[in-house]
Parts: sequence; C-alpha cells; structure tokens
Amino acid sequence: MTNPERDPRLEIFEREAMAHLENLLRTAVHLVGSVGRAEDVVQETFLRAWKHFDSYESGTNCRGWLFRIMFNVVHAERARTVKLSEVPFDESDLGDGHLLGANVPFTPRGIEGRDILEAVDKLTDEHRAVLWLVAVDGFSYRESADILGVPIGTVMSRLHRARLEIRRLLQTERTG
Amino acid sequence: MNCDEARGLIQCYLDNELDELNTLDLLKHLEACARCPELLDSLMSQDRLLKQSALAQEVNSGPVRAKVLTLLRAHASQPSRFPFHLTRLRRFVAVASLAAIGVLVWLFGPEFKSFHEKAYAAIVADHADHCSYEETKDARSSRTELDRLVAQYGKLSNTPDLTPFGYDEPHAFVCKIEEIQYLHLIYYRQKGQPLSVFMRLTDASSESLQVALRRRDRFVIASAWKSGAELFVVSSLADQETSDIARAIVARL
Repeated sequence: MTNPERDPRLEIFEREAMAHLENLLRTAVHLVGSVGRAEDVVQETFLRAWKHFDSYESGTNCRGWLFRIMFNVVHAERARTVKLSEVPFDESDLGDGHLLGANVPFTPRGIEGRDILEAVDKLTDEHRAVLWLVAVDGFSYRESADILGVPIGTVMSRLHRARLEIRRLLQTERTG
Repeated sequence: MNCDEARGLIQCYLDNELDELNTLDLLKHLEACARCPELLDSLMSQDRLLKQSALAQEVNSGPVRAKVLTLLRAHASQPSRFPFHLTRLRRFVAVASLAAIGVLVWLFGPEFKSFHEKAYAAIVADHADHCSYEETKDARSSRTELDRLVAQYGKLSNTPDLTPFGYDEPHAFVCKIEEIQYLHLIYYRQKGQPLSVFMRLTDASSESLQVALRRRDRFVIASAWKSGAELFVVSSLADQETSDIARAIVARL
C-alpha cells in the first residue's frame, strides 16, 4: 500500500493545485451565493481534479484547469436543482446604451465596496461569471472562453453587458 | 478614430486584449478627446473597486482545505481498483483510439479541421447575442463612420445598402471572431429579425464571386469572398434571400 504522506503525486497536487483553493473558494461564493454551497463546490472540484490529475500536465495552466472543473461542477449542480428560483433574464432591462458609454459616463464616487459586490450578485449567472473571471480573477478572454465553454465573442458581449448592468445598478443605488 | 469606434475598443483596452495597432490609435484618440478619457476612467474605477472589494473579503479556506486534504489522503491510500498492467492497457487503448479517430478525421473530415467551423459557431453566437431587437433597435452608426469602416474592412466605397430588402441603415462595431477582427454590421427592419454582416480583408484572392450556404441553429449563414475580402451574412431569412443579399454585397467588392 502506498504511504499517503509520501505519495509523490499527492505532493505535486498539493503544491500545484491546492495553492489555488482560496481563489476558487472566493469565486465560488459569488457563483453559488453561499459559503456552505461554495465549500461543497470547491471540495467536489478538488476531488474531481485529483481523479483526473493524470490528464493534467505539470507546469501548464493549473488555475485555468481547476476553474474549468469548478464551472462544470456548478453547472452540474444547477442542472440537478430545479430552477424555480431563477428569474428569466429580460434583455430589454439593460437600457438603450449599446456601446460602452453611450450614456453619460458615471464615476462610482461615493459607492462603497459592498455596493458593487451587491450589484454583482444581482447579475445573471452568465454575466456574473464572466465579469468575475475577467475583472477579478484576471483571466484573458481566451481563458474565460475555455473555462465557460463559449466562444470569445460571447465572453466579450456578456462582459460588456455585465459592466453596463453594474453601472445601471450603481446609478439606481445612488439616485434611488 | 471617432468616439463611437473608440468606445468599441475601450473594453478590450481595459482588459489588456487590444492589439498594438489599435492601442496606439485609441491612445491617440484619448489624448485629443474630451469625453472618452472620462469613460475609460470611470470603467477603470469600477473594475478597480470591484477587484479591491472582492479581494478584501475574508475567505476562511481552512476548514475546506483540511477536509479536502483528508479526503485526498484517504483516497490516495486506497489501492488502485485496477492492477497496473490493466491501467496501462486502458491507456494504450485510449491512445490507440485517439490515433484511429485522428486518422479517420484526416481521411474523411477535412472540413472538421477548418477554422471556419469554429468561426461559424462563433458568428452565430455573436449574431444571436448582439441582435436582441429590443436592446439595439434604435442604435445607428453615422454614415461617415460606416463608410470609413466598410472601406477599412471590406474595401467598399460605401456602406452596403439593403433597403431593397427592407432593411434600414445598419449599426456597426468591430468584434473579434476566433482572434480575428471583423466589422459587424447589424441591419434592422420594422418587422422581422435583424440581419448581421461580418466582413474583413483576407489574403485569399478570388476574382470570381463565390457564395456558400449553411445552417446553424435557426440561422442561415451565407459566406462569400472575392478580391481579398471575406464576409458572412447571418439571418433568419430563407436560404435564397440570404444568398441574394450576400451576392448583392460581394458583387460590389
């Protein structure tokens, strides 16, 4: 029997994959909306990653690989749960600004961190995911497209709409 | 570069995704423009605030880390369900299967390797994503800007006129499909779905007009190329009408 403390594969996994656990957990909290569910998602992510660790090539983009697994876990979880809580997204709610800045530019003065995080949590799952990947986790459009399994054009348009929606929500917050 | 075009590029600049040439153009515009720098600043502030707030949130990863490590160590301590030689056999079968699939694709499916297959999926997604009628029905680009863009991306002397097909003036912006920049024109009409035209310059040269039709989801794609320019027309119309529109545009190249 292998001694688990000396298993070289586990040592590599801990060094390369577990280093990203906090990053994944932080993102998962905003993806699924609660710390408890986020912990379950992250735990399942690492168990799946370990199961398929043979397919991972050491030294490549481990963080991107883990995020792709995590989004698969989240999608699978959503598919299992009945989507009664999801409100259909109405594109017309976005307002009439198509290009960034079609409306008067808005600088978020007086807006606090919690306001913008609350606004992010009000976005649709798709828009929140792409905004978080690019603006917070710093993934490129190509990496985000690979993680989400969508074309780059979709990443760009969702990102564009997410930013517009954040501005609209913050403006509403400020004026309302 | 005018403000409309600059706004189309600001997001890519903000995300470090803009190529060098467009970055220089955009920076030049920002130096001379009174409004666009304010927009860029506001978006940068918004993103900065989001990132700072997100990273400032305390996340207690200790319990889940301990739980994962316990599970992994327990898992690692279990003997493999398969003897080693069977694992190797499975790997061999997997590699052999992949090699066989590769040979089959090479022999019988060269079209699957084509860049265009990915591009078709991407432009349909882009069309469906951008062409929400309620969202953009009132958006129109200026005639001067349209003419400048179609000259740059399609070598056309002026913007394709689709009024004979019942469409109004288009709205234009530059987008990336599979890392390649295209000019995306969205044409609207009072009744019915919008129509998209994607165009770019290409190295491939063909003096004869060529049009190919294919369907993806609920859309028809007419791809056409001639004289160093390539375009895709994406619509919800019938095949023939989509083809006619593509031919009408390409005939002017």
